Amino acid sequence: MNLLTIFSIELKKIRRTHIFWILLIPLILLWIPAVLNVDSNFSNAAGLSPEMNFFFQMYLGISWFLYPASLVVITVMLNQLERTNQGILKMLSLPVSAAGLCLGKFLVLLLLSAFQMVLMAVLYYPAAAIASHSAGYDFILPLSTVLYETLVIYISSIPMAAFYWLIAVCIRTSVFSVGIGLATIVPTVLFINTKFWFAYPMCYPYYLMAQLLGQPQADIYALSVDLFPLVPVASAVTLVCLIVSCLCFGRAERR
Amino acid sequence: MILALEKKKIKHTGLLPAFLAGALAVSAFPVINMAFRTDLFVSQDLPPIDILLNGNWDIAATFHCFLSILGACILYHTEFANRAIEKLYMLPVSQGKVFLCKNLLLLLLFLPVFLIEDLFFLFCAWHWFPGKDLGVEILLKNTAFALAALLPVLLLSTLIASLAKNMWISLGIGVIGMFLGQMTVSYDTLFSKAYTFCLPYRCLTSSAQAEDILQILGICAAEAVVFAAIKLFLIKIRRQPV
Repeated sequence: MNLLTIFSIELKKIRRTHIFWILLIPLILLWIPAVLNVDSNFSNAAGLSPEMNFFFQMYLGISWFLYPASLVVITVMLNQLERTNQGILKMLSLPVSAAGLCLGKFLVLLLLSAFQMVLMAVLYYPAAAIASHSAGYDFILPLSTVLYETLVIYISSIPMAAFYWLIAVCIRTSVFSVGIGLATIVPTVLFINTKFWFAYPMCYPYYLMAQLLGQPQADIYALSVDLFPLVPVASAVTLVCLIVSCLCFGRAERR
Repeated sequence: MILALEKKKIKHTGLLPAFLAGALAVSAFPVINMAFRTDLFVSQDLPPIDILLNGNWDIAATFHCFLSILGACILYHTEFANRAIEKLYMLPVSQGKVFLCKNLLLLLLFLPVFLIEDLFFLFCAWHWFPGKDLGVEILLKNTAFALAALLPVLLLSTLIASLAKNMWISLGIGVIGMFLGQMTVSYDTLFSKAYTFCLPYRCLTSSAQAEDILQILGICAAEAVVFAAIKLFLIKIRRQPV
């Protein structure tokens, strides 16, 4: 079986998990306080234009906390689906490579997180439209800007997703795998202020968002981040995490 | 008796080491903050314990919320995992009592967490603010206050965890609730004063007014009673007991 078949089978498994609602509801809840507090956008001290302030406030919130936490929740789901009724034992006895199964599940994780980011971008427009209507000021940003920022968050979060997947596969006690996942979110606020931020995959999205926020609005597409230590470190982290998780997948059950 | 049984159940879940690790992680923040940003904190003209609490309590509260959501999910996940909860219904034990004992157990688990944190706060105050009053009394008051503010959070997350069979649903709802609290805690609205997941972010410093504290404690007590009542009501009306 090739990876695509495994991936489509994995997609069938998540049909009745209600995970879509868990990804969608926080995004709706996220935009409500933003729309209600729209007046606060006009008093930005850093000289940011109101529409950018409106946009970034929410995108910083999601990249700092909600998005990593959603990744942890999805990894819990992917794991529990197999473990509740010993489905993993049956999976491992099939003539399918364990590494393929592991990668198939990781692809589901990537797809679900992409789904959440797309929803975030889609929901921005009604929120901005309502805010513009109630405040009498045009809050709507061009589509290219919104898509660009969304893509930046998504792509920079892939090493983080690989890391969470590694933890979920390798640590079987769920209290530790979830606990480590959630606990690694909190120090990002400290790490983005240090020189070694690129060594900590969990802070990439937040760091890049904070960098974009500090830039002048005209050249929003020019990301002024040194790609040199970032890209090698990030791809190394992703690869190592994926390889180790493929090796560890189902190891406890195979003994 | 049920409390003793609940204590036995957490033996192999690793909850106790997780709570200790969480306490140490929280305690590391004031030490790191003081070590790397000494000037920023030492230069403030406030009692040392106020500076430490103001600077670090947000992160500590985030950790406490995480721990209570996680603990609640694990406690009910052990019941749901191999359908142990169906056996529990057959036993002559009251479901409400089980629920309350799980909460009491979590609250007891938080005691050492707060004590460890207090020790580290005292260490910071003693090491970086020599010759000043340590403020043990304020710290102990803050611990009692934090436990009271955590009680509604514990009850709510245990309530959520007891309603969903799948752990990712209860964890997801808990994370959503916590995220909403985190977003709104800085706003000056009624919602951010009364919302359950905003309560642990309040801390008691030496400049706190007695009326404010009493108001928050009243909100905590009211919410705790409401969540416990909801759970007891749900046990009564749901055909498939929860």
